[in-house]
Amino acid sequence: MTAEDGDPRLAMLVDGIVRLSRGDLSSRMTPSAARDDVDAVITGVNLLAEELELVYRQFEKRVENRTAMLHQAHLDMKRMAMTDALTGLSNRVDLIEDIEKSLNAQRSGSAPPALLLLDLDSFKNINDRFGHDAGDDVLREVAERLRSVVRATDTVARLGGDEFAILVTEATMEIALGVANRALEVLAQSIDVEEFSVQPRASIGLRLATGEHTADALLHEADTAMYAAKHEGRSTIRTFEPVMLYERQLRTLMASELRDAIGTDQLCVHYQPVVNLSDGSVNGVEVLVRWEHPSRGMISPEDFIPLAEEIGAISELDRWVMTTALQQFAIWRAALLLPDDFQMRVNISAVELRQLDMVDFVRSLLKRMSVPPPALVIEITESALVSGGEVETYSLLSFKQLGVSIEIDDFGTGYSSISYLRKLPVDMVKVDRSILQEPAEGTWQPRFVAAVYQLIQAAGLGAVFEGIETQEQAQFLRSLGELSGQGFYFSKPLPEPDITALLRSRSALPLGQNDVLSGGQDNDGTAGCDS
Amino acid sequence: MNAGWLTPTEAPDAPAPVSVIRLVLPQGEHITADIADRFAAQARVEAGGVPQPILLVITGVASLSRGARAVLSRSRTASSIAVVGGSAVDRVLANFLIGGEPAPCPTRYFGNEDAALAWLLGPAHDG
Repeated sequence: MTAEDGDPRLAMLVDGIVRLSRGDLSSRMTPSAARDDVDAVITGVNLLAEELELVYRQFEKRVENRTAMLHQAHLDMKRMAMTDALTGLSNRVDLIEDIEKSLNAQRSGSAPPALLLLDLDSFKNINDRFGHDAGDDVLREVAERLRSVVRATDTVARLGGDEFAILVTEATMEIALGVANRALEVLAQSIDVEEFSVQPRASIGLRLATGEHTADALLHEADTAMYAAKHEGRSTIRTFEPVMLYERQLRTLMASELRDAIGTDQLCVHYQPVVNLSDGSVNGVEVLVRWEHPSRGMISPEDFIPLAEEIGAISELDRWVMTTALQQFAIWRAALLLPDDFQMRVNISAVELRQLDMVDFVRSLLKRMSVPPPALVIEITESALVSGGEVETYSLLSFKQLGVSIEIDDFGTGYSSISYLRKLPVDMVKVDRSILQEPAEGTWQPRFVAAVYQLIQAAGLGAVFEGIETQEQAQFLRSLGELSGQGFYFSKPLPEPDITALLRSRSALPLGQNDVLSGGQDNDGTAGCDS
Repeated sequence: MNAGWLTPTEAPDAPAPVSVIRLVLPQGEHITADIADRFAAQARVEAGGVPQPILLVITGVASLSRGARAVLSRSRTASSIAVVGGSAVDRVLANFLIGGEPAPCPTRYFGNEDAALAWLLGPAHDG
């Protein structure tokens, strides 16, 4: 049969192809028993349709699999984006989302959330001393402990570095403080790192949300409270007070002003004489930085040196002081007859010991100013030395190799043992003012001072006593042996013209009478910086 | 399908050489993977572990499923396969059988058994 004959199979074939083209890939046609060419076409179309159907199914299955994989990848990415990789805690993004949920719940009548921000005290020391792997172990342990102090509905997050947050949902101040106290308790228990035990401890800022809070504002205010807690001391909880915002703004302003002030005439250095106690001659000076703020007046180094460390400007500041001091020394050497053993004492921050180029900086400065290295004494606080790592020790050794002396500042405040200090490349110690003065009653105990001095001598170190305020102290120290000292009894720190005049006169400072050169006994509040 | 189809049978007019395994698929049947498997098992018995030429007659089958076609491509019994059919429909079916997965041995379609046997018993195959 042919199409002209009206072969019904051709019409069936056309219908079949139409069904296939509409997407009905399961459609099949039945060939006749004739098995002629038309049947062959029908069979061929059936087979092609079967193949097409199979390919289509496989394709659909593949799309389904890929979609599922994509969905899973999306979930994984979302989880990763919401999770802190190191600790498995929530991250900042997740925390903010949870804060917003809690704030929304509050608007619907639930109790407000409270946010706690925690910053580990001295975590940097753990990293520096034991390495970052050990630091990471500590962070994971801290995360575990913090998880243990919250309810299932609360969120613990790591915001980065050593900063954590706890969102206490449906809180009251009492509940939030309870969580904060439990956090301090669990962090007060030591964590074993290698063969040592470290106590993580934390400063905690707390803010209970009000109806007006946004997530960002809540975070900012909890952070401000944490900042205040950190300044107050270790293991402290502070709840937010509006005045904290002002203090923080002031500090931010001061930070920016300090950056601008470094290298300008707002900063200057004063020099406090160091006296040979056997004859009253001035055998050195300690260089002390001052900030004369154009509108706020003299700002204490106590306030701006920690700020400089915090904002990363300490290196610039220390180097400016070092340059200024050595320039002045070079001028004095050219113009005055300085004693051979005259030494310039310059404080540097512990941070500087971690700067590998600091030693080169000092070396080239000494060379440029033609200052003999033994004339320079670098003063470093005891706590910086005790908590220092390999880099710090390397810097100290390099200074020693250069011929510069190293002096431990504020000795007696850092809980270090004499035997430990003997291992460090240190030449002398500056005995802290607190050793001379019994803190509670303001009286001093000569026998205790003598014992401290004997220990220092036994360790083979030289000693300079700071904070000498009375004739009695000066005379007693003189009786102990060949000692140097400084303090308001002899002279307060002097501006350059006054110290130059003193050095030019080559006059000895009084040892046996209770008068003071230039100025009175007023302490200008620069403990740790002035003596 | 009857039992006779499961064993090699002789062509009515020209006896096949003993060394060629002759498989005749049942006319009018939709050949499924199961049916194809039974034929393949029979061929393995006939071959006795040595690859043999196979004459596969598909004349008049209703259809060859995809599964049935896959059995052919998996065959390790044949040294060569000649597929024989008699109609245009058989030719289309045979070409889907041959043209799918790559065959494990030289395979061709023939319109009659004589030509198929001549090819199977010939000196070499080009596949």
